[in-house]
Amino acid sequence: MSEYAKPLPDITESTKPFWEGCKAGKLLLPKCRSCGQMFFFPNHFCPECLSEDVDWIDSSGKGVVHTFTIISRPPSDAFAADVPYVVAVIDLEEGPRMLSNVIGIPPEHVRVGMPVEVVFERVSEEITLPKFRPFDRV
Amino acid sequence: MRRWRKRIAIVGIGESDLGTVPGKDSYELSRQALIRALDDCGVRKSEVDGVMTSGAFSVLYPMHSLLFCEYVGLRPRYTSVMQIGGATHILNVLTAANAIEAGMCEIALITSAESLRSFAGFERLIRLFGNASGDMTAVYSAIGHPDFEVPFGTTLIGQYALYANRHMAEFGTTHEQLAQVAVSIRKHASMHPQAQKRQEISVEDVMNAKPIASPFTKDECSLISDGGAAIIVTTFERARDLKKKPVEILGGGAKTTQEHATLSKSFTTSPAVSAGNDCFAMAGLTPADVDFAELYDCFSITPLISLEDFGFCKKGEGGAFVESGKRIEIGGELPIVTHGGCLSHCHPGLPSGIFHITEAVKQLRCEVEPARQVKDPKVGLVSGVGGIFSSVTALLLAKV
Repeated sequence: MSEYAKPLPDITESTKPFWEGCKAGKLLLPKCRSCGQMFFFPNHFCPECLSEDVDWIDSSGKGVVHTFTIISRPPSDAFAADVPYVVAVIDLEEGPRMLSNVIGIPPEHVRVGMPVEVVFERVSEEITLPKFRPFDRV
Repeated sequence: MRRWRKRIAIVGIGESDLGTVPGKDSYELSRQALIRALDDCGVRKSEVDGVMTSGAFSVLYPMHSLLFCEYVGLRPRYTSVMQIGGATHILNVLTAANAIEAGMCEIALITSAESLRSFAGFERLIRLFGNASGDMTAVYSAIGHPDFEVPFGTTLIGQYALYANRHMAEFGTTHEQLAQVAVSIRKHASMHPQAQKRQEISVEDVMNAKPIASPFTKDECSLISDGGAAIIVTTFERARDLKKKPVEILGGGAKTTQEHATLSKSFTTSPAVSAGNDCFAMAGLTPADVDFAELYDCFSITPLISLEDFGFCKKGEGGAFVESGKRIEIGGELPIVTHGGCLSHCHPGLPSGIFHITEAVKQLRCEVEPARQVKDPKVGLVSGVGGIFSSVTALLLAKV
């Protein structure tokens, strides 16, 4: 695991619950207790009403692809072995939108509106990244 | 919003050498543009009492406009640095107009230049900050939220592609239509002696070019260039005894919605709706009054969504509007990006949008090559886009 060369997020006091959640296999989303708004990016305050009374909700981890792109030219050599890969914006069931990768499917099969669910990819001792794979609604 | 009580105009423009200009850092490119702009209008350097710059990543310096003024011996009353990406320069023109209206300066210089291709001056930055990676394009391409976007391998191009794919899924816009935007813009560049890429291309060429981030291929992405420009703004009163006829600033608008693409409320509609409404209201005009539009064109999707958002066609009809290129090329009902834009003329990073303004001024003065000249133009719209459709600025300019 030490050879993971891609950029890693910083864990800060504000984002720690989110990354702790990922590590434990949960997609925790911040929700403002004051105005009820769920939001993303994770932070210690609500970007709408600025309240610091933030709760963390264990989400379903399900959503749909709002939009996506297949990256053929990577941002750096660290991603060179992955191309082509999918970067997508996911509309989570609970409301917030997040950016991630759609994996486990040939890139050219990804579609706008496709249902997806979270999977967790442990990339370092501290960091587990939330990624998404197609999910069949029965 | 009301227009300024004083009639305010762009009276002088100058462009530096463009394309690949090794050995000239951003300050030197701006100096070159300044000399040409002063010469264009006949203003003396000592008369410039307002200076608005954009900063430059290649020579990162905390007080950019102060250093530039020192470099060229300017001692303005009013100076500022603005940095909202490709939307910067229009807002700087509006800042100049506001400062002139308020009496805080009389003759304002707007300038921006960058050495994005040759990295002139960048070696000093590396010395200053230690062992940086040394590749400025890598810095640009990795723009994104460091915790919630960059770790997933996103790129600047890929983030605009998110808009293109959503627009295609929602409205049936085709990749051929997007490719046509690049083809028409290249056609304009082919008639521009200073454009970096002048070889005409076809829709097939675009479709078959190297994929970068779907749907975009190489030809649908901005260039990497060196270059910059300077613009002189003053009152009609002061313009009376200058060399060129003033180009009046009829209206301006600006809107910011977010920085990171992830947080966009819409991937099909941009802040141009709001910026455009304000701009047209201030000018007392409608889209039907516009003879040509220098729409910011960092990627093929950008002008297409802008055409819809500024009201030149309905939402979702941008694809049909650009199809075949007839309506958006010189001679068509609304020629766009008549100089070749970021896609074919010059894209030095931060300064890229400044050439959309200088081109609009040239068109309204009927100073461009005959093949590229819009017939009898009276009103031109210019737009700037910063970030990932994060911030849009708009300007309406008119022949007097």
